[in-house]
Amino acid sequence: MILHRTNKRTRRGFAMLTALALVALVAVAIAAALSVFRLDLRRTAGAVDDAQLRQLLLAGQRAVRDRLPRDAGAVPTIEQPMALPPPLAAEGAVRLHLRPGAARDTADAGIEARLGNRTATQTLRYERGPTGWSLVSADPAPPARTRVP
Amino acid sequence: MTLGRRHGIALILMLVVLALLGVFAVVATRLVRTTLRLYYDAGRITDEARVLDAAVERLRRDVWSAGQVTAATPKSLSIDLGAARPIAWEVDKDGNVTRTDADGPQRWPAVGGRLGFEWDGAALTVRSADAGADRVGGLRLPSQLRLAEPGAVR
Repeated sequence: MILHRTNKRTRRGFAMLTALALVALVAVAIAAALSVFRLDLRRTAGAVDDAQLRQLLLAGQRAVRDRLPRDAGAVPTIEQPMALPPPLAAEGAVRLHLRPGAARDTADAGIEARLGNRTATQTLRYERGPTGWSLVSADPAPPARTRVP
Repeated sequence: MTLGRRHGIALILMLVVLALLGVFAVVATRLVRTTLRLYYDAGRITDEARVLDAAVERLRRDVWSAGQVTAATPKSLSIDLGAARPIAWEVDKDGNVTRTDADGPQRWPAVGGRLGFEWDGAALTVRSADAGADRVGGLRLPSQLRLAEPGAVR
């Protein structure tokens, strides 16, 4: 009778350990899958923000170009924000910097775009030719995160 | 109930138990294998994604500033930034991605085995860098210099 009871207890213990091991395995599998999903989610969110930032930089480039003199006039020094549509203005901003370049008939510009806590900047150089201004170099800085206070 | 009939029932019960144990063993084995593979793959995918993202980000900045891009083959690129020597990008047969500029080579190992490049005059299309992007034709990296040219597609 005692032997029978011990065997039954051993069997229950074995079953419990097996069940626990399986639950632990499933937990590990779920944790691994979740880490992949989380990474994917973060990458996707970052890619969407970066794409929007690039659009803002392109828009900034157009805005700077529109501020260059159409005739043979001098390049103005400008430092101002660019107007954005209301939904974008709520979470982002673009700032334009323009000044005459070191060489004659050149202009240097900087565009700073911010969206949420991500920022992107680029430095542009324009040259004036017979047909007007043309963009001759664009030097982007890698997108960065700003620290949110 | 006769003794023979009781033995028959015991035999059937035993067979059922054996079958259940077999099913359990198969399921447990598959579970262990899947878990181990998932655990291994999660780490590998994370590492590969980080390395590939860094390479694509670098390539995106190069193309953004590029005046001209030449894709001699789907695995090699020459990007003209106006410097004396163009920047060369190459994917070798082992999938290593190498960028070579005046400062020397920079390498992202074993992430570009299936990468392919295609230049359309204003943007570089990178295929097989991202499954989601591939569904819409690939990852498009535009050149701002080319987009800013008069008559360029906006």
